[in-house]
Amino acid sequence: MKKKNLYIISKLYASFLILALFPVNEIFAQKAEVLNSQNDSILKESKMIDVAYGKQSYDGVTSSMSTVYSKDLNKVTAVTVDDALIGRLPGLTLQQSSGEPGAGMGIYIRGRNTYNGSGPLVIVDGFRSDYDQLSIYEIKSISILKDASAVALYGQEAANGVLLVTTKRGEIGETKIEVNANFGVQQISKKPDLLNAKDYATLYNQARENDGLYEKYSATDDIPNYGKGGVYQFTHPDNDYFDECMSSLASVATAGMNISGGSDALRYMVTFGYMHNGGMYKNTDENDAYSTQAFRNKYNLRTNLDVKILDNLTAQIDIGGYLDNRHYPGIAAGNILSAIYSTPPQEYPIINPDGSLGGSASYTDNPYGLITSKGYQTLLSRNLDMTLHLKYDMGNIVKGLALGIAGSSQNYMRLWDNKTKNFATYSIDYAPDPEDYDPSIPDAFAYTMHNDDTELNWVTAAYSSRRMNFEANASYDRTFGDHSFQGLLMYHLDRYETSDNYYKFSNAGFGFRGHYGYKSKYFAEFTAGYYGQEQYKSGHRFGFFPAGAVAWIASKEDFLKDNNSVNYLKLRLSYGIAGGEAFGGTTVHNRIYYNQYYSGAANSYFGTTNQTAYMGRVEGIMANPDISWDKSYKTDLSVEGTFFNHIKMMFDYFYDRRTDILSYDNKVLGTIGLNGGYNNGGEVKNKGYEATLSFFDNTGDFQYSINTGIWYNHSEIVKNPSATIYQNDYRSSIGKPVGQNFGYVTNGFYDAASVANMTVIPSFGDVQEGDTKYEDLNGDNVINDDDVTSLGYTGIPEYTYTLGLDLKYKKISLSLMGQGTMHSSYMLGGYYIPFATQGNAFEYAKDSWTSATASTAKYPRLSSVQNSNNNQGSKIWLLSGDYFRLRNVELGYDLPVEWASSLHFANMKVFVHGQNLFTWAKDIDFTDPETLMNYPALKSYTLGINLSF
Amino acid sequence: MLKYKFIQFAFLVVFLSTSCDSFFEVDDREKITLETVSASDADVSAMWAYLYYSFDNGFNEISNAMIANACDEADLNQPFSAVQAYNEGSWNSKNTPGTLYFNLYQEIHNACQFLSVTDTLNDIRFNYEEYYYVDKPRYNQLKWNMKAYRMDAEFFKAYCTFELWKRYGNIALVDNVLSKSEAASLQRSSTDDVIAYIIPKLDDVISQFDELSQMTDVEYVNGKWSDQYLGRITKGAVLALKCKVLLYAASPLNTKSGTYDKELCAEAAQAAAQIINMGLYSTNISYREMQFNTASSNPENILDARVGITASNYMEQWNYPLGGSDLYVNSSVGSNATCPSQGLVDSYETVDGSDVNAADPYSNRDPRLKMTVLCNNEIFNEGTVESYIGGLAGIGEKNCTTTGYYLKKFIQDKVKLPSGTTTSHLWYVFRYGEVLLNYAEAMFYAYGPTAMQGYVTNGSDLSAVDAVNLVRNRPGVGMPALPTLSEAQLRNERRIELAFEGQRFWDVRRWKIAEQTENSPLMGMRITKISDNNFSYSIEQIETRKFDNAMYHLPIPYTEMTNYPDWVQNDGWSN
Repeated sequence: MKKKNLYIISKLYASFLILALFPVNEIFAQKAEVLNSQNDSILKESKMIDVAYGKQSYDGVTSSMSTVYSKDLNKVTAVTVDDALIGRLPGLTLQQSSGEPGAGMGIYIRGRNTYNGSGPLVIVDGFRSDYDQLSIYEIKSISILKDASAVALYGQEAANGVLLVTTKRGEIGETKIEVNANFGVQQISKKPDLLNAKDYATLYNQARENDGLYEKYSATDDIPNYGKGGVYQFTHPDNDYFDECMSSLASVATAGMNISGGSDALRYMVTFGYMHNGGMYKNTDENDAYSTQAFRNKYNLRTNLDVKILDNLTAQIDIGGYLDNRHYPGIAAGNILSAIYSTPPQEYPIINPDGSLGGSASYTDNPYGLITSKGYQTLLSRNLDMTLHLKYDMGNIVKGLALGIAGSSQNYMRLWDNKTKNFATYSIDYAPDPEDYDPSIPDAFAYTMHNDDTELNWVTAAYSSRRMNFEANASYDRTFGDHSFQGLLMYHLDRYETSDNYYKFSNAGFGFRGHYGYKSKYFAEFTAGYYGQEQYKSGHRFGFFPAGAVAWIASKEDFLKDNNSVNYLKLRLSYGIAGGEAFGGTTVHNRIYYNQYYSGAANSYFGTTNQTAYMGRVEGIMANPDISWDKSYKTDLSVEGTFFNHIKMMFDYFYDRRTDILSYDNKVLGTIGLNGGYNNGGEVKNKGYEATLSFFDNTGDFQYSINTGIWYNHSEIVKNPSATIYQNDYRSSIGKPVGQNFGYVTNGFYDAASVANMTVIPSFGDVQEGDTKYEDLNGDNVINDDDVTSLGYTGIPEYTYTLGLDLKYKKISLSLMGQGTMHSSYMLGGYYIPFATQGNAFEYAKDSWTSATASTAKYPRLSSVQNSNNNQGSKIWLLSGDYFRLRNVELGYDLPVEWASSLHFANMKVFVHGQNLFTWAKDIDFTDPETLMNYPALKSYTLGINLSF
Repeated sequence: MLKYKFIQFAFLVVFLSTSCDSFFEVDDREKITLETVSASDADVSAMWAYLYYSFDNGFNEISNAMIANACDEADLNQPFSAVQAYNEGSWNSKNTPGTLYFNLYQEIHNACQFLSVTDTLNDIRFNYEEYYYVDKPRYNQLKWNMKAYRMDAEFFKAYCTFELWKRYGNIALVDNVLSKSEAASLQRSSTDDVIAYIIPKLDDVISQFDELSQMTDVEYVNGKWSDQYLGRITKGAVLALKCKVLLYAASPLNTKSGTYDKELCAEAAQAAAQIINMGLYSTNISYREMQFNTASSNPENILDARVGITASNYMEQWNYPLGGSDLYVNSSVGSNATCPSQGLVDSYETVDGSDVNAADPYSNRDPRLKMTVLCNNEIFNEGTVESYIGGLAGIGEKNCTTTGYYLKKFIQDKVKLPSGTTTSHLWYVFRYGEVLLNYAEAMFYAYGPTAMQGYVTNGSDLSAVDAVNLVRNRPGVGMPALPTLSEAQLRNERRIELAFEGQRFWDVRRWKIAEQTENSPLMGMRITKISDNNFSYSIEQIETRKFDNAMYHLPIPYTEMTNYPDWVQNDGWSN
C-alpha cells in the first residue's frame, strides 16, 4: 500500500480521536453483539451468517463480506433501501444523483474494476432479483460479498461483487407483533445559489461588453427597477424560480408491521410495509381534477412460511409482492430543473397581470407552468415473487446429508399512464407607464402568445418481465471430533424474459463448496462454480470459477487463550477467479456478438407525394465467435480482532486484476466496412482496503460505541482496445483510473501583453484579455486536444469514510452517523459555465475576470457568445467532489416496561430521526454536492414509534 | 400455475442434462442472420433499400449543420456545434466533424455484400424461375427489379468511392466483401487509379440502362422511373456522377500540373452533353419552386436524396427568425440557424450592373438573393424579419443570427410551427443547373468561353457562356445574358446558383482558392434601425477563419492510420 494512503488513514484516525466524533460502522456493532454472545447458547442461531447458498458460523466464515442487520437499517427513515445502506457497509459506495421520489442510486462494491457495467449482482433469498423495491421492514440483513471465495458460486455475473439480501423469517414461539411507524417532513438540503435579476443583468452586460456587444440592460432604466413594486413587477421582474417552484416541505412516512411466531410444525412471518415519499414542487393543486405533485406510495406484503411436512422434509414457502405507485408532473424533473436554471431571472413575470403565464420568444418553458400546466404522469409498478424451497434430510441414511430443491418465479409489470398537455405563455408587448399603472385594470397590458394550450393527451406504455429459477442441491454438514466438514453441491438454472422482445436470458451451471474446520480455529474452504450463459457461442459457454480461502482464529490458540488484551483475533486469506458478465444489453444486437446479426436500419423512400418507405436492413457490428466472459482474479487478506474488551478493529486488503474485459475494438480496419467488433482485450487493476476501528462498552447503565470506518479503492486501466491511442501518455486513458477526468492545465488568464505576443496559439479561435491561458504540454506551440491531460480524480470517490457514535443511558439512546467521501472530481460544463447556455448563472460568476480583478479572478472573463476557448474542460472548471454529511441522527427513548405492559405492549420505543441535517462540501458549495443540478437531495425530520406485543 | 411452471422447469432440467445447448440458444424469432436475410425477398430488398441511405441529407451533414457553415457561405449560430472546428482550424485526424470515412466504406461494403448475396449467376434463386409459370407479372417484376438493384449497387460503389476520394485524395479501393487479412493488405491508390476504377464501372451501368428499359413490364421508361419509384437511380444520374467525377479529376487540386486538365475537361463536357442531349431536363422552373418541387414534374431534378421527402420541420425550427405572430414556438426556434455570410450576399450582382445602394443594399439585386437569403425587414411567414440590432431577431440575441442574415433556401415559409405542420424537403444529389455549370466549366477550360464542339446535339449547340446564360435566364431570375465569360464570372455564377447545396466547400478546394476564401474573416451586416423602414448598415467582422494548405484534403482518421502503419498521412496533417 502506498505511504500516502497510510498517512491519510493515520491523519484521519488522529482527527477522529481528537474530535471524539466517530462513524458508526454498523457491521461492527453487529459483530460485537455476536462476539459478546459467543457463550450464549440461546443466541446460537444469530451467530450463523448468511453466505452464498447457505449459512456459516461467524468464526468459520473464510471469505470477505460485510453485513448490516435490520436493527441498523431501521435507524434511518429510508424511502429507498439505498438510503439505509449509506455508510453502513465497508466497501460499498453509493452515489445519489437525484432526490426525486423513486430515484435510485449508483451502487459500487469496491469501486469499479471494469469500464463496463459496474453494478453488483443482487440476490434476494437465494435468487437473482431486485432489492430496491423491498420494504425496509421485511429485510433481515443485507450483505455485500466481496472476494472470489464469497462469490464463486454465482458464476459468470459475480465479478462486480454480490449484494445478498435475506428477508425475515418466523421463530418458534407465541405470536409476536411488531409495529414501526415514522412520519415527518423533508426539506431541500441546499438551495442553489443562482443570481438575482440585478446581478444577472449587471454581469450579462459585462459579458456583452467583453464581447464587444452593446449593453443589453440599461444601467439607468432597467437595472434599478428590478424587484420594484407596481408595474415593475411585470416589466422588470426579479424571479427566484427555485423558490417559486421547489422549496415547499414534503411529507414522508414509512410504516411496517411484522407478525411472526409459530410452532415446530409451522413458523410464519408476515410483513406489511408502507412508504410515502412526497415531492418538493409548489403550486401543484392549480388544477381542480388532479394534482401535479411528485410522490410515491409503495405497499409491500410478504409471507414467509417454514413448514415441517414430514419429520425429515421441510418446506419454505415465500410470497412477496409490492405495489409501487408513482406520480409526477407532466414533464420530467430534469426539464423542470433545467428551466429553473436556464431562464434568466428578469426574463418575464411568472404570472402576467391578467393571470396568464409569462413567457418570451426565447424562453417559453415557464418553470411554474411546467409544474402546473403540463398535466401529470403516473408510473405503476407491480411485482410478485414466489419461492418454494424443499429440504429433505437424509440423516437416517447418511448422517449430515440433506437434499434440496427450490424454485422461484418473479413477475414484474410496469405501466406508464401519462396525461400530459402543452400550455401557452404570453409575453408583454405593452405595459402602462409606471405613473399610470392601476392594478385594478389588468387589461392595460397587451400580449403576444407563444405556444398553444392543448387538452390532456393520454399515452400509456406497459412493460413486464418474468424470471424463473430452479435449484437442486445436496448438502453435507457433520463434525467428527475436532474435524468439521461442510459440503454443498448444487445445480442452478435461471431464465429471464421481458415484454420487449423474444430474447431469453439464460444462465445455468453447477456449484461446489467444501469447508473444513479443525478444532474450530483452522478453516479451509474450496469453492467453485461451473456456469454457462446464453451470450456465448456453443462450446465457449461454460466457465470454471474456482476459489480457495483459509482462516485462522488466533485468539483460540493456547498462547492467546487467556490473554486479557487480545480477546479475539482472526486472520483470513483468499484467492480465486470470479466471472464477469460480458454484455448488459437486452437484445441480440447488444448482447450476442458471437454471431453476425442483421438489424433493421433507417428507411429509404421512393415515390412522390405518397412516398413509399422501404425498410432498410444492414449488418450489425462485426461478430466475434471467440467472445468470452471477463475474469477477475481476486486476492483478499484481512485481520480482525477485539482488544482490551473495548476496542475492535478490522482491516481488509484486496487486489483485483480483471482481465479479458469485453471491449469495442477501435482498431478495426475502416476499409472492411463493418462496424468494429468486440474482443476480450481489456484489463483493469483495482486495489484498496476497508478498515474499521471502534471503541465500545456495552455493560452498565451507560453504554457506548464509537465507530470509525474508511474504505478506499484505486483502479487502473491496463489495457483497453476501445481507448483512443495518443502519442503522449498523459493524454491516454490507459494507466489511469476508470472514469478519470481529463482537461487542460491552465496558466492564468491572458493580459494585454500576452495577447500581443502570442507564441503559443490556442486552436479555439481568437483570444483576448481575460481568456484562459492553457499549458502547451507537448511543446508544439499550439493548444489543442494533444495538450489535454488527466486532472483530478474520477466521478466516483476513492475514499468513503464514516464517523459515528452510539450512546445509551438507561432508556435513552442517541445514535449519530456521518459519512463523507474524498478523491472524486467533477468537471463543470454546460449550464455551470456562466451564460454558456444563455441561462442564469451561479453566484460564482461574480468571481470572473474583469480588468479590475485580473490578478485575483478565479474564472475567465464572462462571455455572452461563443467562447470555446474558455469553455474547454480545464483545471479552472474542475471541482473536488469531497463532502461530508451527517447522514442520520436517532434520539430514542424506551418507555418503561410497566407503561408498555399497561398498554399491553411488550416494548415501546419513541424516537426522532434526522437525516442529512448537516452537509459540508469542499468545492461544490453553490448547490448540493451530490445531486448538483438534478432534483435536489433532501433533509428529513421524522418522529417514530416502535411497538411490539 | 406456479406448479405447472415448476414441472416445466423440471423437464427443462432433464432436457438440459441431455442437450445443454438448446437451453441457451437464441430464440428463432430473434435470429436475423445472413442466412435468414438472403432467404427473404423482403429482406433482400431491404438490404438494397439501405444502399440509398448513402445519399446523405445535406441539411444535417456535419453534426446537424449544413456544410455551408464550414466554409465561406455561412456561420452557424450554435457556438458549441462541432462544425465550428472547421472555422477555428481546430480539426485534425482525431477530430474531423462529419467525417464520412467509415460510413462510406460501410456503404461500399453493403453494396458489395448485396451483390454477393444476390449473385444471379451462381444462385439460381435470383432467377426466380419458380414464378415463371405460376405468376408471370411477379416474375417480370422480380426480374427487372433485381437487375436494377444490382445496377444500383454498382453505382453506389462508384459513388461512395468518389465521395471518399473527394475527401481524402488517395484512398484504398474496395470492390468486394473483404476478409480481415485482405483488408489489412490494402494500399492507397492514386487519383489516376481511382478514376480508372470509377469511370468504367459507371459506363457499364450506363449501358445496362438500355437493357433495363427493354425488359418486360419495367417501370423505367424513357430514362425516368414511374412516379411510384421516383428517387431511384437513372441513366441521367449516373451520367451526372460521371461528369462530376471527371470535372473534379480535371480540377487544379487533382492534376499533377496544378492547372485544369483539358482532356479530362473535354470528357466531362461530353458526359454533361449526353445529359443535355437526353432532353429530359431543363431550367424551366422558378428558382424558388426548384427548391421544393419533389414531383416528377420538376425538370431540374436528376436525383435527390429522398430521405428529405419525409415530412419534417426541423429545418424550419432551426432556421426561422424569431418574430411575427406565429413564429414563436419554443426555445428551439432559431436554435441551429445557418446564417449566410456577407461575402455570399456581396457576390450577388445588381440587376443593371450598377453599384449596390448603400442605403438599401438588398434592392436591385439578382433575384436569387432574396430566394436564398432572408434579409432584414423582409416579410416572411406573415412577420417582418427584424435582424437589426435590438430587433426581435437581431444580432446577438439568443437563438438569433450572427451575421444579420437568415437562410431562406430550402426553408419553407408555409410551415406553421405552433401547430406542428411539416413538409417535404428537397436535397439534390444532382440537378440540371449543376450539370449546365459543370458543362460550362469543362468547356471553358477545354476550349474557352465561347467555343462549341458539337457535343450538344439536341437543340442548338452550347458554348460555356451559353450554358451559364441558360442558368441565369430561368423563370423568375431573368438575369441579363453575359456576352462572354471570365473565370471569376464562371465561379461566381456557380457560387450563387448552387449556394447551400453542399458544393462550395468542395469547389473552393478543387479550385485551390480555399487558402484565400477560407482564410479571410467571415463578415456580417450590423444593421441599426433609424426609423420604420429606414436602417443604416455597416459591415463587420463576425469571426476569423483559419485554413492551411493541409485542409485541401481531410486527414485519414487517426484510428485508421494506426491500422495501417505503412500508410502516409495526407500532406500537412501531423498524424
